[in-house]
Amino acid sequence: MVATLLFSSCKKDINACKDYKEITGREQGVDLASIHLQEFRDTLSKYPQLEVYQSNSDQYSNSINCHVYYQGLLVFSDEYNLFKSSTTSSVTSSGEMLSTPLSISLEPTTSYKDAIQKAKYSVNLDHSCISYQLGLYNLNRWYNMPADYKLAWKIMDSQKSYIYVIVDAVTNSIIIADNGIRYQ
Amino acid sequence: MKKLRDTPVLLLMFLSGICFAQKDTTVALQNPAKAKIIYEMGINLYGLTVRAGDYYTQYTNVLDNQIFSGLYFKLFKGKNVLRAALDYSQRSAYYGKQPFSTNSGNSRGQLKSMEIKVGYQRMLGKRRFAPYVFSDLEYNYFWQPAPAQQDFYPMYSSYSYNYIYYRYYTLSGSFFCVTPGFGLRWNIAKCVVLNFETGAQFFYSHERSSNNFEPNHFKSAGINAKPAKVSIGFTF
Repeated sequence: MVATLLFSSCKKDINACKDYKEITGREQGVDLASIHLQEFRDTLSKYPQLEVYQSNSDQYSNSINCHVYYQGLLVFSDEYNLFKSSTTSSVTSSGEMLSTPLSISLEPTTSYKDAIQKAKYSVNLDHSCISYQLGLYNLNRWYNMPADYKLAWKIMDSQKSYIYVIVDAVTNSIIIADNGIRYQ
Repeated sequence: MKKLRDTPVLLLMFLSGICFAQKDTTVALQNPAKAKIIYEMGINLYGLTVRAGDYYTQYTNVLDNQIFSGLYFKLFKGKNVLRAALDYSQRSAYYGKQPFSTNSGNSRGQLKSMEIKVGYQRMLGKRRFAPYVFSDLEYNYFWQPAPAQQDFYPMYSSYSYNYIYYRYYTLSGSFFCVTPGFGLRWNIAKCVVLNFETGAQFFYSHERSSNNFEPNHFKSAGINAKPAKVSIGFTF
């Protein structure tokens, strides 16, 4: 026991949380009652997989930004946006909206703890409280190719959600990591 | 600070000159009732500290080797010993980060540190080889003499273009430690002793960084292993 004590070292961050926080379900974003444009309301009622997280309105335009869900899981790579010009009254959309069934299992084969361990090697989470969320990620998000969705864990700083790592929930490999730093 | 490194050599020369007239400390240890106050002064020749790794070391332990790091002083009264030490060292604090195959390396650069220790030592033997136990209170201040360059990927993905940035920042902080351990004292000559020690350093640290991307202040606590420390001293 003495030898073990003398030749092993350990360190505990006092600021970091003891437990990891799980994020489940749909994020309660913008209250739908505050969206008055009928075109937006029609789209949201037709596609319940959309969840509005941001709404903007001024004298020139109205717009909403939506998260996309699939069977209750957030699609980390996708978002869907609607824009209406006040001058032309035209409505345009952008982004992806997953609407066809996927042929992948929605049961992870790797645990969130494995994913967190993997993530900690890519992004500095030493002094952070860590949250995790199961969702989907389109590997071909950046390419003009057919979508390739994977079940994934999103590991993130609880206070700074822009610091995150997306880890494949089947292979436990890193899909994308962002340390949140953009400039000197 | 360079002068501090030359000090141990000068001190050795000085002490070796006066120690011929001094009494062997084993006598005092063998007769506690008649124990006189005996002083011991010397140089910390080598110390090894095993620190727990973090993100910057990819969670592998860091081995800090300290050579000719400073001076120590002991006051013997029978089996009871008061001890103090002053150490200065420079080390590469964090290194070896290779998170991605294309990463060219990462470093938090050099850290300098000043350590002040006071403690108590209890002799367990009386002979030429005398074991002992000890416990030190330690304050350690460390700082970075120059900002370190850190190269990093802000966003990394196997499925998209990766780009690299550089930034500079500094790190400083304090350690408060309690270090219990045991040692072996070897009287290699009439007034020359070698000390071998091993211990565990229970610490609380408060670190400060100069950038906004990590917490500017963060605290941690833990245990550093100190498996080996060798010092040479003179009694008088």
